[in-house]
Amino acid sequence: MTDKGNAGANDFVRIKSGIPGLDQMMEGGFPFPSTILVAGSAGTGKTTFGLQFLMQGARDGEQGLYFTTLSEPTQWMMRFASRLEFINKDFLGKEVKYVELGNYLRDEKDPRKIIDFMEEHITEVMPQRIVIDPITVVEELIGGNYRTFLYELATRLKNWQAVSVLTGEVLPDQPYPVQVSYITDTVILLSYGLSPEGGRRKYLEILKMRGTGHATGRHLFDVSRNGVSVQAGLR
Amino acid sequence: MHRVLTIQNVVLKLRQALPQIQGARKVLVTAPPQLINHVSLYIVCAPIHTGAGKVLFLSVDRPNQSIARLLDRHCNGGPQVLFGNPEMDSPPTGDVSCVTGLFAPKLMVDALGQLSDGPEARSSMVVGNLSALGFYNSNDRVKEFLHRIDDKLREQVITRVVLVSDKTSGYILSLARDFAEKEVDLSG
Amino acid sequence: MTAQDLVRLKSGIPGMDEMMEGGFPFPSTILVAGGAGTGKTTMALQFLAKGAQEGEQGLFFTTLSEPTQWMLRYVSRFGFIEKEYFGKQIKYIDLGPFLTENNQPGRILEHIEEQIAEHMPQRIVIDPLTVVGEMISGSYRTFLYDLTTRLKNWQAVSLLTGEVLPGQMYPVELSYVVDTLVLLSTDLSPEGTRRKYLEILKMRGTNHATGKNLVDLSARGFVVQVGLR
Repeated sequence: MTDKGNAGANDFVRIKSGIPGLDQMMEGGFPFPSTILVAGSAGTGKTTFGLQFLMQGARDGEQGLYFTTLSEPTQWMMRFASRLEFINKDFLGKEVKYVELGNYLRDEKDPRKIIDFMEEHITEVMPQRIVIDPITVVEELIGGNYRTFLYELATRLKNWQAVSVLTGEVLPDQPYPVQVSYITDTVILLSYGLSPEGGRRKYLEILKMRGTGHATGRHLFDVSRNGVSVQAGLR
Repeated sequence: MHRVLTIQNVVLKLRQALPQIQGARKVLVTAPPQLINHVSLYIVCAPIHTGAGKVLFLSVDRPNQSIARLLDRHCNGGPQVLFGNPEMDSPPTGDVSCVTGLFAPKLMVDALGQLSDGPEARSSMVVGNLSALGFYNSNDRVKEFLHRIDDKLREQVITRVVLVSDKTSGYILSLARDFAEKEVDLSG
Repeated sequence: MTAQDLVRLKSGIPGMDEMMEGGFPFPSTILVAGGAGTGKTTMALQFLAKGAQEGEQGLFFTTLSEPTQWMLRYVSRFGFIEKEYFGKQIKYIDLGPFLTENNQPGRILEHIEEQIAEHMPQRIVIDPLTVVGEMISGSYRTFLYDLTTRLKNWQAVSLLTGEVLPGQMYPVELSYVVDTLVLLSTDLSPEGTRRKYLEILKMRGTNHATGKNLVDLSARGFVVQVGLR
């Protein structure tokens, strides 16, 4: 493991997010370890955020693990991911490992078993960075046990010694998945609005971040094949 | 008005080209991207693999279930098809052995190579959708993959290889052209 | 290092390919969502007609059990589609009987896959998808999840249409499982005319145009008015 950068005001070790413009909004990076909820509606850049975060880790010598709750074949996802210019294909399958949770979630409804399954992979891979994308699908697939799942996840996350990014799919008028936010240290909201010319603008806002002084309010957020980035200082 | 390439046109050209494909050791077949599946399956099931014990079908990113179904439906109940993955312990054996994989093309060739045990069971290999390798692998890895196939040909583990590719990746196309002894262009 | 290009199929909608690096990624799944009268079925047919012109095979799955005669009459109103395509380059499959007599999700999915394996289409349409919710036993969301999973095991551009309920921007049960999300909407101009719009809300692997674009929906079909909002 490489040097994690400067300790922040509260003596946290922090790791770079990999998102240009974001680290300066949060005292230099995500605290290590911690959990982050990145919530937003369709097309706001959640998956790209997660991949960029993992690629940054790979460049910094950290191991990453990406859990998808969609049961699409690995190749389907990777083909689109390869279009992102920041993706280094040599890292795929190695410094950035990919696990399909979807098929498992279709058949297994017991929250503890699901998390055991995830933990098997975490124990084997020993990642410093984890992404679960999107976590909100779990509610659809396991129904009533979702709450138990989240509480169980919250407990185990603390043992995993990693920075975990959970993405949440929400409708444009919904703020963020409240239940998930209870178990995360940080909540980042991605949203969109219309520009005066009628185009779609995207925004990033840090809603909460325990133990860190963070910038508030909506900031312009760029989403493209080059990746996602925060336009520092612009709203 | 541009010529429209239907699957019927392409299959006709392919049928006419079969003797050329059968006659060469290292063949590149280029086809329109929408027809790669059709062309690969046609070649796998065509009666051109006599002299070889079986066909090894390396399907780069096509999921096993759909390949199984397609072979079952369109190959006239011909070859017995079995599947595996590069990490398997005991590889499947059958008339057509199929492996799909993404990140470790070299391993895939090794795995398929293991399926041929002895000179009586020498095999013909078909690689479906070569250009798709470019999504999941760096240029160096793709180069190594083709070198590995060359090794297997030299060891006479496989007797012939047919690469099926579209023209979307200029780099992979040029590597394939350097590798092949003959090219059959179905892309019109 | 520049990313390798995706294979793309032309949409058949004038003005739209330029919004998405040349066409829909092949393969991929698309949701075209909009309220009544926004042109979803027209767009879907235009998409298949383009495929037929390009020598590709298309499958049109209908869930509303409209008989072929009705569909042919609807289609012949538009200049962009040849009646001759129907039955050959465009195969029309009525899922209606399956949905009413046999509402087991597994069997419906199986039937769809059988047709895909048989015809090996490059383009697939399921129109409309959202009505299926009322017609199947078991969880609708799980059915949609399973359907999109299965579609992603084949090599086709699958265009699914979804009805948008008032007050809803798009059907949330489909938005995260598809690779592309296209929204069709309408409003009233100050002069009282009805204006129609198309917006690409998301498209994986593609730098796409954002924001609403005016569309013209007429006997010639669906046309995006490039540059107009």
